[in-house]
Amino acid sequence: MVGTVVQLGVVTLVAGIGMAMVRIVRGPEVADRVLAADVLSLKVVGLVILLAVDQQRSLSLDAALLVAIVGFASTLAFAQFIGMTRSGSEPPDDRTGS
Amino acid sequence: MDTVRDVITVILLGSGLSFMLIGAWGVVRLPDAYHRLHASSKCSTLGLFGMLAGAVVYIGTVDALIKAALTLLFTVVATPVGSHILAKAAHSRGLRQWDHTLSDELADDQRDGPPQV
Amino acid sequence: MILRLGADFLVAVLFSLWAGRPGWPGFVIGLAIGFVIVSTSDLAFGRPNHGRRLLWMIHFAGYFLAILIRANLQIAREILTPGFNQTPRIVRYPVQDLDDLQVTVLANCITLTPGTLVVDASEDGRWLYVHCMYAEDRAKAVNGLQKLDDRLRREVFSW
Repeated sequence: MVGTVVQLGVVTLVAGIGMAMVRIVRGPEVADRVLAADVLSLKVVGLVILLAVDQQRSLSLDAALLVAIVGFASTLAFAQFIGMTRSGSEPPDDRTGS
Repeated sequence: MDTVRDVITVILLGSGLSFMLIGAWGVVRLPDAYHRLHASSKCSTLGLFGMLAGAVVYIGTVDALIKAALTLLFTVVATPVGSHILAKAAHSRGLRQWDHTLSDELADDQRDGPPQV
Repeated sequence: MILRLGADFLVAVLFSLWAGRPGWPGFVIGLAIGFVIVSTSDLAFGRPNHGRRLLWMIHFAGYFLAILIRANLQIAREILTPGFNQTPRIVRYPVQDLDDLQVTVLANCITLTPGTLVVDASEDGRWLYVHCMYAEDRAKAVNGLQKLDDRLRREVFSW
């Protein structure tokens, strides 16, 4: 019973990754793309947890914690990047601020 | 006993997975970046909570409990902080808001200075 | 408070390692021993008993889980039904008399409650700017924030 749910869960999470990819490709602003990347990294954490459930061992949960930390750090870095491009070098044809 | 454990695991994992899917669908569907941040922060947190609880119930060792508690603690602290930082960066960049937004007191205060109390 | 909870937890881990029983019984016994030790030190130093604070924090954690689930159901309904009927607004909320850690905890709680998301804090740390999804009536939205704030002050911040 749990095995079936794990298989369905992999399908669900891959579908979620696909939706996040849609937003990464389509997103009109950088912020949309970054938040979609954040969601994608959390889906990867979910996949690792499903791996731990499948093996019924707690070894993979370490990897889940690591992926969560790396995802958070990358979100911070991208947010810093968004803030920097505004205060530092403004592109000449930027009309979003007005 | 094993059947009870399996049923609890399936319920927790299933609810967590469905919230994660709803969050991803919300990121695609909602109209502007702030609404997408609503969807991603709330649904990801509860989704991971459900999945971790299911994993702990199914594995059933203290090891798994401690690791899952650490992961959950980190997620509950870090996901909202990440969305605050993204929202702040997006707003300071002048992100266009949804047309039906009623008022934006942050932009008012950045123009006129915050009210004095 | 956090130090004392950490000491409790540390005693539990040390005991379950020392007793060579890294399973459920050893951990629970260790938690009980740590609780007794920390409570005794509370009595000895005349501090308020950390067990009562712990109960209040568990109480708040239950409330927090309930509102987190309600927030998820609300946004799931918004996502899954066709059409949008949000009335979003960015409102300011005063946090003059809280220190930095408390503002951080409050901001995290606000982000995870139904229909609200913290966008920014002012430079001097006196205002939070909150994006509310259903704020047709501004006073009602601020009232909802105030309720969470009061609860947090009463149950968690009164260390």
